[in-house]
Amino acid sequence: MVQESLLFSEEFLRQLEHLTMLTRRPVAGHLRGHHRSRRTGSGMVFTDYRPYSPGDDTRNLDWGTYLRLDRLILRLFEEEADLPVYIFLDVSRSMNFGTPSKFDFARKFAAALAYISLINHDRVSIVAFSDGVISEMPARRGKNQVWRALHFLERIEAGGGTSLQSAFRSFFSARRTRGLTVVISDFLDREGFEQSFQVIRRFRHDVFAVHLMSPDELDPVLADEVLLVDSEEGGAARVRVTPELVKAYHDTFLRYCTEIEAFCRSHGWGYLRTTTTTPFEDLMLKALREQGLLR
Amino acid sequence: MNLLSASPPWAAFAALAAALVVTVLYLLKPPPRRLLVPSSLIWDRVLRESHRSSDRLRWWLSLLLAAVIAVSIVVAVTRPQFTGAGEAADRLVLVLDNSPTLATRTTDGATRWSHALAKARTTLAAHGPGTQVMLVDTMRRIATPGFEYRDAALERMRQLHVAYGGTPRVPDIVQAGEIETVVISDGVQITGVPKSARLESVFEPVENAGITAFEVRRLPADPRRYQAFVEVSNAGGVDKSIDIVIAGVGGRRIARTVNVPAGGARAQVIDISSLEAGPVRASLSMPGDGLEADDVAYAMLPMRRVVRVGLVSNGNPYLEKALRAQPRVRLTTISARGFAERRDIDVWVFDRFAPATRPGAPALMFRPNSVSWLPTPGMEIADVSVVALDGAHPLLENLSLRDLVVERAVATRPATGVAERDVVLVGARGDMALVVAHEDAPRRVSFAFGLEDSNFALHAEFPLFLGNALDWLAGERGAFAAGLGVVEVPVAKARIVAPDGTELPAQAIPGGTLFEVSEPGMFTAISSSQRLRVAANLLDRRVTDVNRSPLAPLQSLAIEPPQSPRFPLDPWVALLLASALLLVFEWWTWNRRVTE
Repeated sequence: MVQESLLFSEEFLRQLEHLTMLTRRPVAGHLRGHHRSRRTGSGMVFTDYRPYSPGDDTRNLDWGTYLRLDRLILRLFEEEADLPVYIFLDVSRSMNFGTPSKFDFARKFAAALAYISLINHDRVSIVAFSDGVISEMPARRGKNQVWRALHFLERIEAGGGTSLQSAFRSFFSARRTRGLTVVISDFLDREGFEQSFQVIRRFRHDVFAVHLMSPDELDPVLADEVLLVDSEEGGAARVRVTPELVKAYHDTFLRYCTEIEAFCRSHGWGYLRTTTTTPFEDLMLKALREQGLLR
Repeated sequence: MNLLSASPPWAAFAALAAALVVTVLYLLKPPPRRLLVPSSLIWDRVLRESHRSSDRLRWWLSLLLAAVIAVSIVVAVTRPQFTGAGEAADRLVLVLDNSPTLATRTTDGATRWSHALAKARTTLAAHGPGTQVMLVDTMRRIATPGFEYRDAALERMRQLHVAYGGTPRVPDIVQAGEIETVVISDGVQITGVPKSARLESVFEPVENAGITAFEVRRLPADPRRYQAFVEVSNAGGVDKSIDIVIAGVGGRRIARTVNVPAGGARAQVIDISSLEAGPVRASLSMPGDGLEADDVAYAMLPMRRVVRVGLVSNGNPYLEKALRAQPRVRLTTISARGFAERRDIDVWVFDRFAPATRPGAPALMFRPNSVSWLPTPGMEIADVSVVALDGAHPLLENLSLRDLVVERAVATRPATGVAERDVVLVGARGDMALVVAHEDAPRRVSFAFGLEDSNFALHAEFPLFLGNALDWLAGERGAFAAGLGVVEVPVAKARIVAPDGTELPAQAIPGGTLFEVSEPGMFTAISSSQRLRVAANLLDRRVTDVNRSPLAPLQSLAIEPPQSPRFPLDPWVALLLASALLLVFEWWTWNRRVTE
């Protein structure tokens, strides 16, 4: 089941190979890549001049200026670096819900993003988190690392509660190169998403939030009086279901989603809300392109 | 819908129990279905915002409504009787006279019984609904009177009616001074009214004439002819000329007009030989007659066919001549030696002879010899004197055997030689049976003595006895005479058919059947082996005399109609409807759920 969910067709993979991850901010990659960085170097895009210092590459001296002004001026170029992509995958118990489950859908989604990034020589880290970091695939680069990434995704299992804040704190407490952080989650975090995202914001990462939900969550089918049991915390709430209450739930759920989206938009981050019944190809080839994550 | 009428404490207890049951059922409701959700984060928000406290409130409201509904239903069913303000919760013994004279019509077209019911309702209305009422009737149709609430007594009163049979009497009820006793009667037949009781009169003098005796008799001199004896009484205050009509089968009628003085009676003997055999109906007509039940009477005119008699004797010329002298007898004489069972004989007469096996036809036996199917004869006794006679038996009709002398007889003791259904017609000293009528089919009459051993054959009544015996043995008897009311007929497990062909409810008793008759008529009791006509007649001068009352006449003949309720619905029905509405409301407020 897991194997099947992570396998893509050859045609789809070829289509994915034409895509590239985008970030709105200059990256700080250490290796040469295809993304703009703040560093100057041997790129193609001219950025500035500065006086020559001994040891500089003489190939970048502006000889025309030297002839006119008799001064050695060095031409600076924007260096193109690789993009560090941090894929945060929510593996809490709440993700193991719905048909198909959000967890399987999220793994597939992460696999596709990892594939696109690795094809484009970006450095990909995959972090499985619930109420902390559960497991982490260290940064990998290159197309030949695709199968490692898939193998990592296949091995992880759903469990535990949800704490975005602990996961982000734990992961970013180590020095991480600024890059693109993709968070795939249902964001059902009692600690609140604002506080959690403040951690990423401090490190000035570009963020793209993929809000995953099951159709049953949006429009639950309930009958009579039910005892709702929280899959993560085990708490129970006795609910006598009326049409008014179902409508109130629907409205509250949508409001919660809107709050997350508004927060992301206000910080210039990308946000995509999707359900597990959305055709995966459409999501990757259309929706993500429209939201500016892929090109 | 008057199932119960509970006392307030019992009703309160039942209501409390119902409320308790509802509460327990609410608490015992099955736990809700567990449903695993990814997170209760959103639900917590929803429930916080939708004022969860209202759920609890609604639960209590629902419980309250359910309890109110249950209590309402219990109260509607038990119908507790509460004493209203200013009304005394006292006790009342109400005695209703439902003797036959209460069926007498009053000048307003109603009956004394209608007036009695109206007076009873008025009496009950004067008391509060909480009053304990014991309703008693003088004809004891209420088998076990007891104190009950007013509405229950009214309901019981609606089922009461004028009854016949027996003597009306105020039962031995409580006569203590603190219990009010009201007797409502016309005072004609009632006895035993307690002195402390208040007597309410429904008496009104009316003109009434009735048949007080009616009988069909055979002429002793000529058994082929019949006459009807009719006695008519006039209970009115003036002399009356009353038309009597006797109608038989086929519409033949014989009419007579009789002048009956006021308060007197006149008897008429009418030859009805011209009528066909079958039911005979005597009726009288008089304008303004008060009581209908005594205006008709029924009797049975027996069939008069030829009876084939077989005399088995070794020679008894006197008996042979006496039998031949019977007008309907076709006699065949057979010697004892030449006896053989024959189908063309209706009645056997055995003279000092008994066949070895029981004969198939009824038999008259004079001193039969000892055979196995007859009781063992006792010792022969001499100079037997007659000490007991059953004069009411049809065999001894119009006979007097006081001077019967028996020289020799082989008498048996009834305890040893007489079966339960046999009747000892003539007995002797020492509890000896001389003449026994055996009822079991085929019937037989056994003489313990021979004709030559007594002077019976020399009696002038002997031919009459032979006639009676042949009629009885041939099964040609008249109808069973009965009064109105509960009738007991000597036919076991019989069904009773009314004159109009309908079957009456009947109750089997050992050796007979009981049924109730409320108007004169000719009924038929039919069992598997017997068919008996029953002429039920009033024929009671005490009833016909409807004006013999010491009570004062009614002051007003106006009957107050029963008060119609101001509210179109019975309050208990209204309470049930309210419960149904509350049930719908309860469902709407609480149990309306999403059940997709």
